[in-house]
Amino acid sequence: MIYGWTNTILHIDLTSGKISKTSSKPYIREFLGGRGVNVKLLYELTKPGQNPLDPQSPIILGWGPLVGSGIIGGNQTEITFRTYPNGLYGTANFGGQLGPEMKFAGYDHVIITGRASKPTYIYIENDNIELRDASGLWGKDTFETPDLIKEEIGDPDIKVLCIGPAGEKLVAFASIEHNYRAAAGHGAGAIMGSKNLKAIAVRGTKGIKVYDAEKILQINEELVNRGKEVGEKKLKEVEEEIERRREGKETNWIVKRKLGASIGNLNGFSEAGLSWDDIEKTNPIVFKEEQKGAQGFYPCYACPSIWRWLDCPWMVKVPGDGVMVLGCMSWYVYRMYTSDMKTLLEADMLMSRYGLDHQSIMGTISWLMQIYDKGIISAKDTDGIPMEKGSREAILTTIHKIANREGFGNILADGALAFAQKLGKEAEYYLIHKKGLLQSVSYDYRVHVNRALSTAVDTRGDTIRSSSGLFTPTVMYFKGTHYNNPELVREALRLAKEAYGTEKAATPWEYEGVENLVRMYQDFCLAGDITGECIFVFRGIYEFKADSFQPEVRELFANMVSAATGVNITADELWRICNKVITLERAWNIREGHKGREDDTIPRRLLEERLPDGPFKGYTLNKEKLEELKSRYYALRGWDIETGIPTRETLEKYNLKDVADDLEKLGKLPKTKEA
Amino acid sequence: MGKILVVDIESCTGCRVCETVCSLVHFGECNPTRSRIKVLRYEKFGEYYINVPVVCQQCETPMCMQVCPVNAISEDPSTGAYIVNAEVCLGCRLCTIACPVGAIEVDPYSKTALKCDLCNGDPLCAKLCAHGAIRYVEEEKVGFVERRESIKKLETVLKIVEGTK
Repeated sequence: MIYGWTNTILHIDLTSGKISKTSSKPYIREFLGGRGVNVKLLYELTKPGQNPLDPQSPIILGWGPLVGSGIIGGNQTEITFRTYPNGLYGTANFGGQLGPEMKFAGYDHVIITGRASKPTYIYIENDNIELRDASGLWGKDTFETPDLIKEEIGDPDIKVLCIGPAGEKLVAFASIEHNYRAAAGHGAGAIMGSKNLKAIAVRGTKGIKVYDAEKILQINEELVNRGKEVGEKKLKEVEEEIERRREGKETNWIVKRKLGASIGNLNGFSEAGLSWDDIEKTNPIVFKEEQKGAQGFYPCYACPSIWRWLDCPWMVKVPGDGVMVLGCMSWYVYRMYTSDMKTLLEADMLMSRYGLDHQSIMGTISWLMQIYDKGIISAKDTDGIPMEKGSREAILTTIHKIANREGFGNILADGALAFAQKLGKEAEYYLIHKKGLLQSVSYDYRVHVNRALSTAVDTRGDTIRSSSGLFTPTVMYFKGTHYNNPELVREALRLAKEAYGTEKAATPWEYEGVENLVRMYQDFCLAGDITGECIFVFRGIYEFKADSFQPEVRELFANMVSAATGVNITADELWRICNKVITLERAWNIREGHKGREDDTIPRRLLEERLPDGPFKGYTLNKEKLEELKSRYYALRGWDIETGIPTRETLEKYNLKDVADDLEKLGKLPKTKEA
Repeated sequence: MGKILVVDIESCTGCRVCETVCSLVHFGECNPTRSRIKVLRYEKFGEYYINVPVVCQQCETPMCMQVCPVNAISEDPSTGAYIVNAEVCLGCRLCTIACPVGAIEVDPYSKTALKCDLCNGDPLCAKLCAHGAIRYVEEEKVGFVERRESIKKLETVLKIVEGTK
């Protein structure tokens, strides 16, 4: 009897139309599932240096043992692929309804290779798999496509993952979408497009048998009750915030933004032409007040945390305008230099419909606006459209042009870096990217050194899933000093010590112990990605305890896996698997040409420019200290301190001798043993 | 007097935790297909988005019980729930035709009728509904609760009608 897992990997080759199944058994004990098994499969299925758009370049979907197990938040899908255009490790994680449905249909992983001869979509209904004609869907946007598929097959309960016109046109920013939102960016949509694959639709009715249903119900009850409790607390905080607004006092939201300093575009707020009133418009409370009737919308499977102020970043429905992720809303304002919510909502909907990665597009437009402002480009470079800061025309036209590959959008569609290189060195300097992947500098690295480190070392190249936004102790510490409240400062230091073992965790701008902050949060995300559990549920319910992946949270993760699968996993074992997975991801990247420490960089501007305003005015990153931090981080991971490449010793410890041999053959394995 | 399950469409987010816990507690598996409560979603992008949890109302005159040719459905005196005796059930589906709310169906795996049994007086769907959309209420209070909710429903419908104009 198999519990939690389905033991099945589905292989679909679009070139030959061949469909086969293999057992996931050899992988799951070593890597559990989701991102863990995905990277192992990626390692086996790819050849070094393969073009991301090569038909044999795979798209790997995976669902951990908690997906569809009935545990609250067990709904995450992991898509692993080679990023386009830069060809390095790409993995994306999202919730919604797809994952559980796939598990109910009977699959732990789905591997898609090949290229269909004509537009195609895959329809999976339990054991029946069909490759269906998608000629009629080609060109349809990501909102229309799922509806058309449901209509064609005649079942409203089908769950759909699809690309929009941008993916079909192989736009570098193209994403794969699910439930009206981007599910996987970094060119995943282009890879699907290159396969002539419009959508993957699924209906599963087999269910997932669990080992200990009683234990799962008990955990669910604990999560719901705790969630309600924290929800009440948050509601109280919301009331206090409303009170502060009424009294004309500085809101918590603004205090946090001050701590974030130059959010998004590396300009200070004043330089960006934004006032604190503009920023205040992004305060969820104000947003809700102004957008009357805004409500939580389209929750993920088996998760009640939507719109309970529980830090769930999922969707909010705005009457008349559409939907948007509340948590990401503020970034639009900072990066597009406007608080014109109507335009921003419209832009958001456009990107979703076209199937474009919001972060990358916003980064690109923000960059164009900056270099236009500095006189580096003129309207001539952008088909006569002035890239004025906050301009509605600039925002919307750029999105249309990129998605349709028109005019300057055609060059941008090959990646912002390609366009930057065409424009010249000065323009390139202002692009915030890492190896061509656009960065979301949501909290300024010059204040939040943990973000700098995680951006530098992260295996997929950006920090959304490897660095927390604002750590609770950090926020408390800042508020304590900001308002001259020594009691709050003391409490912050106590919490920091409790969570991370060092008081310094409250002050991430001081470098000390930052490697631990990064490692803990990365491992917390990894635990979620491997098991299929949503990390935001835990961040909401367990607050700072989850960020620092405290023993209590680790234990709970392990208990959940054990209850679902009947395989006894200890907290330590789970933690060990996290390190194993990230080490294999790293090794894959190294195999593909990542140079380790040398390539563990952050965008240059962050090392060269000082923070222009705010309470941290003048702060900058110290390159030497950052290098030392990298060394300490490599040591924590068991990687060679000098090169940042996993050592043979570490790889062999994780039964990855073949990987060590591969790296040795390529002359990339560190010669010295780990100190 | 007994208690019954009352649903509030307005509060339901459509998270389907109720389906999950129902199939877990009865079958040891997570499978919405085998859940006795089902959340129906009606949506049209940008226009409406409604979730309706459908569950047995334990009718005063239970049609399912009356049409059953083999008397497989009987009242549990401790909870007032009408429960199916799977040993006796033929899987003839007459009950599914008779039920006015569509809250009874034939389990595709065991081929016997599946309906809410109120979990022996402690229905998990209500217990774990974080939004209070499913409540376990004393029968004599149901009238008030439901009327209050009907007015809310009316409001929703009016909003939709307004929106589509």
